[in-house]
Formats: sequence, structure tokens, C-alpha cells
Amino acid sequence: MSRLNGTGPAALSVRGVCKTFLEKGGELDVLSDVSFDIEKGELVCVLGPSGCGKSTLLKIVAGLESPDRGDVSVDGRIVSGPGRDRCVVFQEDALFPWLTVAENVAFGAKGRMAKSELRSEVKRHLEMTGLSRFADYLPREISGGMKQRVALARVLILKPKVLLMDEPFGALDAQTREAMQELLLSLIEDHSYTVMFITHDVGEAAAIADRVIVMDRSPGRIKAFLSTDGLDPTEVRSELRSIMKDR
Amino acid sequence: MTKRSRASVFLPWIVPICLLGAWFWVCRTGIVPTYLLPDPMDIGKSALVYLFGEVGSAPYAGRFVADLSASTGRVAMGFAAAVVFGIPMGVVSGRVPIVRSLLGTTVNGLRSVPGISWLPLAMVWFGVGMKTTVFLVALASFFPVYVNTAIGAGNVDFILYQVGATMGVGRIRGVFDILLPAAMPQIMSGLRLGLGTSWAYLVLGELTGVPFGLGALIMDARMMGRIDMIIVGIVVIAAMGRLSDLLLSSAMRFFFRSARRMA
Repeated sequence: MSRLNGTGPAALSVRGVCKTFLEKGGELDVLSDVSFDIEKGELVCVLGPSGCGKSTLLKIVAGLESPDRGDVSVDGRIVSGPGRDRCVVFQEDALFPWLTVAENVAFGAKGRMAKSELRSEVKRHLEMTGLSRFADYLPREISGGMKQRVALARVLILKPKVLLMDEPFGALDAQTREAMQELLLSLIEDHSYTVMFITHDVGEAAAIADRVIVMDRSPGRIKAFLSTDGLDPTEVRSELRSIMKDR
Repeated sequence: MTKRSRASVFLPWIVPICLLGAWFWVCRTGIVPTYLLPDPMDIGKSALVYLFGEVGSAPYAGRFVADLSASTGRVAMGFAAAVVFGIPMGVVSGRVPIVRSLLGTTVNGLRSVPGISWLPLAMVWFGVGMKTTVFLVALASFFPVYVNTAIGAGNVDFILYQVGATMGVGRIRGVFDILLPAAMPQIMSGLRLGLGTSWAYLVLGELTGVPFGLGALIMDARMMGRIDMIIVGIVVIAAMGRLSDLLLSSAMRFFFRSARRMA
């Protein structure tokens, strides 16, 4: 199950990241000295209760927020600011409502490849995510699960080095969520994407992760790492539950 | 569906037809003398002469083309100026808080001044005629365009920019491919309101005495005691206002998919 290759720099490396927000009446430590690596082709879940700073962590990795201390590097190079090497699938519906499914998927890649290549790439990514039939639909005409497929397809087309997912299936019903998890796993199987996946759902982490980073709140910090190598999902779940309970 | 669309074709005409019927009835029974409210048939005849009559064959005959082109030109120029200033300024004050506070008080103060109070000043500045009219049209239609664009730009969901930023969209492309399309519904309302206002201030400007124009027609007819021509002028302005609104909406829908799909 492990896809670690152990050579060269990590696909994503987070070193000593701290973040403090100013709140009324004082400072709030959102992240305190967070460090971890994600290897190429690895799916790492960041699991924690709400308020543990996991979404802030993702925003810092994405470059949408800057850390007070520490740094983020991709393939050994420190990054600052947002970039196409780290694309985000957001939790909420963040599609462009005036573009069709196919146009949404083409949005980021437009102007970066020849027209004919863009067309075939869009077609390929619509097929990969099971959206071919919906190419000409507008976002308001498709279901929540379909929207998240579009959100996924439109970043995969950019071939990011790291895919950042911020509770992308959190708003979906259980059945759709499971289907989306399976889709994500099969895409990773075929294309070995590197994924940092934020979730608060133990079951979800157990179902998809190669490795789980368990976070704790106030201050937000890493509590434990758990590799799912050689464990079945039930064992992973009970392991994670006991880690989270133990304060 | 077909039942409903058939009803929606038919419904808008009920009120005008009833009003027209009442008008006929009032004139035929003689309750209101015809020098105050002429018979609709007479107005129809005057309108035909005005629209299609040979120039010079009768007073007002065939003036329609000259009046319409003069007025349309003034509306187009004034409205274009309002759009050229209103949309960029609206976008900037919608997105940049400093600009918003800088302009907010001034614009809202000026906005509350009725446009008609500018007329004496405009006549002093620009004299009687074309320039005054274009100035009034531009001034009056600027506010709805600016205010609505600012609201639209201000309300664009922040997450859309974040999506753009993580996909490597730069500032310029962000404005044209994310901000403006996302704000399109409000921009459309602003443009439509602005264009409606343009026609109102066109008439105001033209009342000051220009040889041709729909406002000039109405003012001239009043001095000549031609109530029928005043009413013809009103109907033509109403029709032009509605027609220009339709043209604006269809042009926007034709050129911008965001207008086609959201507004």
C-alpha cells in the first residue's frame, strides 16, 4: 500500500509553521509548530476536530494565507503565495456559475496549451471524473456530488504537484461521499496524485488515507501520525478514535 | 408550460387595451373636451402623418426620422459616457475599501440632488442644446450604473478569487474572467436602470430648445397647442425606451455568456 520512494525531497514539506490570529481580548494560537512531509503519490489525511486549525493549515500550504513562522516547500523549493503546483478543491460550491461544466474544467488551463490540446484534455478529464454527459450543463443544473467532480476535474487538468482538498465531500450525503471517495482512490491508482486531504470524519480518513495526521486544538498542533499500512479500515478507525480521545 | 406561455403573451396587453377602451369612451361621450384629451383616432392619424408623412406636406409631417436620430444620438453619447465612467469606478469602489470610503459620501450626496436642479447650471456651462442634453443624460445615468456595479463587484464571493489565485489567474484576467462575469447580474440592472434614466433626462435637456428631438417635439407641440402631438411624442418615447431596453438586454446576452446565463 505504501507508495513511498524515499529518494529526493518530499513532494510537500511543511516546516515549523506557526500562525496566530488576533482576536478581541488577545491572541489565538491557531497553529503551533506544525511540521510534516508528504511523499510523492501519497494520500495524507489531516484529521481533527473543528477549530484545530486544519483549514488554516491548508490555506497556508495553498499560499492563500502566510504563516507567522515556518515555511512550506514543494519538491524542495520554498513557495510563497498561491500557485498552480498546489491546487485546491474547496468544501463549498466554488464553481463559476456562468460557465458550463466543460468551461469550468477548461478555465485554469485556458491559454496555457493549444486549443486542440485543451479540447482533448478537457474531454479526457470529463471522462475520468464521469462527467462526459454533463459537459454542457451549468453548475446550478447539477447535483452537489457532480459539482465536486467538476471542482476536482478543473484542478487535475492543471497537473498540480500536490492536490489540496479541504473537506471536499463534507457537504455530500453518505452514499455520494462514498462514491466520491472511490473515484478519488481510483484516480490516484491510475495517476498517482499526491494529496493532502482535510477532514473531520474518522471514517473518511480510515477509508482513503495512506497516512493520517491527527491534530489537536488550542493550540492547533499535530498530536500523532498514523500509517495505515497493513491495517484494515476498522483497525484504523479504532486506532484513530483512541488517539483522538486521549488528551 | 404551453398554457403558461400563451397566457404570458396575452397578459401584458390586457391593461393597455382596457385603458385605450376607456379613453375612447371618455372622448366619445364628451365628458372631457377634445382640446384637453383628443380622440385616440385623431392621435393615430397625427402619428401616421408624423411617422410617414412627406416632409413639409403638413406641420410635423415626417419629422420622426430627424427627431429620433437626434435624440438617439444624444442618449447614446450620454449613456456611453456614463458606462465608461460608471463601470470602472463602480468596480474599483466595490473592491477597494479605501476608494469606497473616498467616493461614497460624495457620490451619494450628489446622487440625492434631483437631476433637474442641474439644468440651470448646465445651461450656463454648455449653453442651450446638444451639450447640455448629453451632460444631463450622462450625469443622471452615471449613478445607477456606478452604484449597481459597485454593489455587484463588492458582493462577489471571495472564494472565487481564491479559486482563481490557486489556478494561477493574474490580476487582469481575474477582473475580466472572474469579477465582471460574477457581478454581471447587478451590472445588467445598473445598465438597464441607467438607460431608462437616460430617456427621462433626454427629454429634460431637449425641452430647453433644440430644433430636433423627441423632447423638442413635445415642447414645440405644447406652444402650438397640438395636444395630439404631445401624446404622440409621449408614446414614441415610451416605445423607444422599451425598445432600447430590449436591445440592450439582447446585446448583452449576445456578447456575454455571463449575461446570457445569469442575468
